[in-house]
Amino acid sequence: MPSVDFVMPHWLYWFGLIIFPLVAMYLARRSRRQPNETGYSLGTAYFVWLVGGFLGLHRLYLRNLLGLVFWPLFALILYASSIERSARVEYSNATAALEVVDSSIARKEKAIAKSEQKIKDTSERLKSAEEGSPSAKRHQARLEKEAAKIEKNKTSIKEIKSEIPSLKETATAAEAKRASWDSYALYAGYITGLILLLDLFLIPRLLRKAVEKRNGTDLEEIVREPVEEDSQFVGSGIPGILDRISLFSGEFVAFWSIIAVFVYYYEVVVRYVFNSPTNWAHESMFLMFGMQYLVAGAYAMLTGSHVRVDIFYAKFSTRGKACVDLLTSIFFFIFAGTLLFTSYIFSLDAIGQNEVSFTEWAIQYWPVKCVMVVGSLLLIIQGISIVLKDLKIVMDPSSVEGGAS
Amino acid sequence: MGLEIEIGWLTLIMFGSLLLLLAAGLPLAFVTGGLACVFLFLLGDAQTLNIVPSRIFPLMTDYQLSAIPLFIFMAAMLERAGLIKEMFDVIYKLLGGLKGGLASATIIASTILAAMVGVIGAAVVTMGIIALPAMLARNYDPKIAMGSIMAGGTLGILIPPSILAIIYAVVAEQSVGELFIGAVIPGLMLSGFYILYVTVASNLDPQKGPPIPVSERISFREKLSLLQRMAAPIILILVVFSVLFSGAATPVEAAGIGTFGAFIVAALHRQLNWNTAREAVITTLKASSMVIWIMFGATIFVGLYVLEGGQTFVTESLAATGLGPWGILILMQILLIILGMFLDWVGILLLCVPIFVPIIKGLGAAAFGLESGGDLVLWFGVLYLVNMQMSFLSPPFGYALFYLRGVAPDHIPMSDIFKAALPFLGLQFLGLALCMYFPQIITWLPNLVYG
Repeated sequence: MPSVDFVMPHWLYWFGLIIFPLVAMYLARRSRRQPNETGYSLGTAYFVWLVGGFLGLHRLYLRNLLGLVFWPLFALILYASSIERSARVEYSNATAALEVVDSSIARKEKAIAKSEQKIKDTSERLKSAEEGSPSAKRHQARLEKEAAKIEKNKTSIKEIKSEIPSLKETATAAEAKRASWDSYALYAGYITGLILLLDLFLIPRLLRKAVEKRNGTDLEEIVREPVEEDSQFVGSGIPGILDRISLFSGEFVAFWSIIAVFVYYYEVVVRYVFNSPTNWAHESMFLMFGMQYLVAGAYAMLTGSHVRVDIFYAKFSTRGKACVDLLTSIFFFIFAGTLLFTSYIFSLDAIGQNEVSFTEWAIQYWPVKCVMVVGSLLLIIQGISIVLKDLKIVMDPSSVEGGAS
Repeated sequence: MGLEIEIGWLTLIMFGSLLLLLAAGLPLAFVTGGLACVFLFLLGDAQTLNIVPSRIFPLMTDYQLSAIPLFIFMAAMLERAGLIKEMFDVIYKLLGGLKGGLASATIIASTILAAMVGVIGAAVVTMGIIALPAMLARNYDPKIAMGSIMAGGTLGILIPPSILAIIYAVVAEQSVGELFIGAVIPGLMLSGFYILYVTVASNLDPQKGPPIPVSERISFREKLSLLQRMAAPIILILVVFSVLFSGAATPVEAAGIGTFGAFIVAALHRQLNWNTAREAVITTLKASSMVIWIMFGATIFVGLYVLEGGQTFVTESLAATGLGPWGILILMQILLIILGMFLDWVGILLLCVPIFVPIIKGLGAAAFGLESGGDLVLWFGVLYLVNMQMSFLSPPFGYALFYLRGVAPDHIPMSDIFKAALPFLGLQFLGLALCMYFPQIITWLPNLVYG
């Protein structure tokens, strides 16, 4: 399989974070206004084709069992990919072993040369020495020892050399295995691609068939419980305006979660299918979630999602709750205010240094820190809205209705 | 202001004001955050406040934490697509013919649900709405019915992907994957205990859990076609688990794959559209920001307390009790259960774990018959998770009791709900004791997988 080395450009990352939620919000609104009765749509079909086509999921979605054809092909690609990985390891092990063999042969040959030199020197000394003298005996012994050394080194070179062919064989076999499985994977990839290309044009027909089949039968429908819209928490007057800010900012960052799904999908596919992991997927996503948590604080506050201990609190009257809330909100404002002020300094530092991350991708850090300021500002805005609502309840108890503030 | 306060008094003041503000109904995240700021200023000066963003920022850039929104997203997507309700239907019909079958079905369904969902409240409410009326209509003993719903609901804490396990791992600097794997056997063991209990109880006294009438039972063929309807979500769970446990991907990636799979499953069930996605992302946003903001507040609060010497204070106080390692461990478990009756689990985790884990580590792995420090922290983590289940179910304040009260018919008195919880609480206690006495239940599988 070819390698994929797309690196997310920084501008595209930031731009995507801003544009995607806006588009998604628009599409969600449209989908709410005109709900789809059959549950099938061309958009979804093409979406599933794009992301899950290699598993034939688009055909399964359109209730066409031929989609299962893709499964063995994909299994082959995955299998080939893993064989390729292990073959690559085998090959590099074998070549490394060959290098070790070469260097040890060289070392042994050097030792032989050294021994030969010594034999030459010693035999000259032996000639000049008196026959039968102690020194002659010593030289004689020396000669025999060196000869034995040479013999030993020669046999061990022979032994080592006998390993070479098998190692070379392993290396070439591993390389051949890698190449052949690589081509299998490639062929499987081509076939998958070809069928997918064909399906690109067949999808509208498949969809028509699926819709016809669906209209023909009356299956048990999955019943979805209606959701309560969070806009019910939005008050009226000035608090209402402030609430809308939280509502919008929350929904905006909520859609980022969808981006994460596709980025992780991409990361896993390029890693396991193309053997080329990215250096930006993980970092971009945890930073995005980090920013999401901060901005979402206000939304959670608007919708009352922050957990509280309500053993006593639940027993208070609406007016009692409002009074206690006003008192405890002092601590809330201390926290939010401190966060706003200190993170402002924190982010000014980051902007001053044009701070980037210490990774290969080197994404700008300062926008992330600035989001801390935005998040705490949103919290304070939401806090003010709640204080205004509580004040209204305390001042004018008759205004309390069955609302959810 | 640079006030000097003796640590014993500081402990009293800090946690006293914490309890007071919590009782007054201020959300936990803001109680801890606000108090932390106040004490930072009192004990240090305006300059000290600058540690607030520098403690929050590392959480914003924590890689492992992004598993939380992703796993919540996966569950939300499946739930919004109506699949969780469908799952109950299917398992009900499959097991209806057995004695106590509906109660077992509830527990099995909860176990599968726990493998999709990492938070619990929802499970009890969902099952209370779907399973309770079904069982009561078939003359089940309300106590068995309610007990199995509540006990099953607690499994979400233990069976991966549990959000609490992720937070514990981040706070105790453990691997999320190991904790997930360590919790599998205890989770399945408890689930097995519950099923065994309801089966034995209804076989001894068929009045408690009568099988559904023969006329309502379905044929084998129908059962097969029902199973086919559940195929996609079950395959999804299997994929996520095998990815998690083979170590092929990190828990975060597993969560990403799971969410992606949830999209596909929703599409296969013809429920994928922008509106469903919108509802799911908003549910995710609310649930995850609730969890993370508690982390923001609590990390500053506890960080300050540890910095002021709270760690040593607690260690010394525990040492002064004269208890051995096991005594200290048991004392901690009791403290956790009591705290669990009042506080949110995430809050307990963030308030206690940073203080407890170093103490446990200080006692040493050998004191508990374990091999390594890593095993010890893992073991304590899973014990903590089992513990949280118990506090979830303990009368009179356990959350499960109140979640169920909210959806149970009015003619069932609260005292019955309490009584329903007791046998299952006993089983959890048994489970906890087993896990404490035989740590291998927890450490065996992670060591097998990670070596």
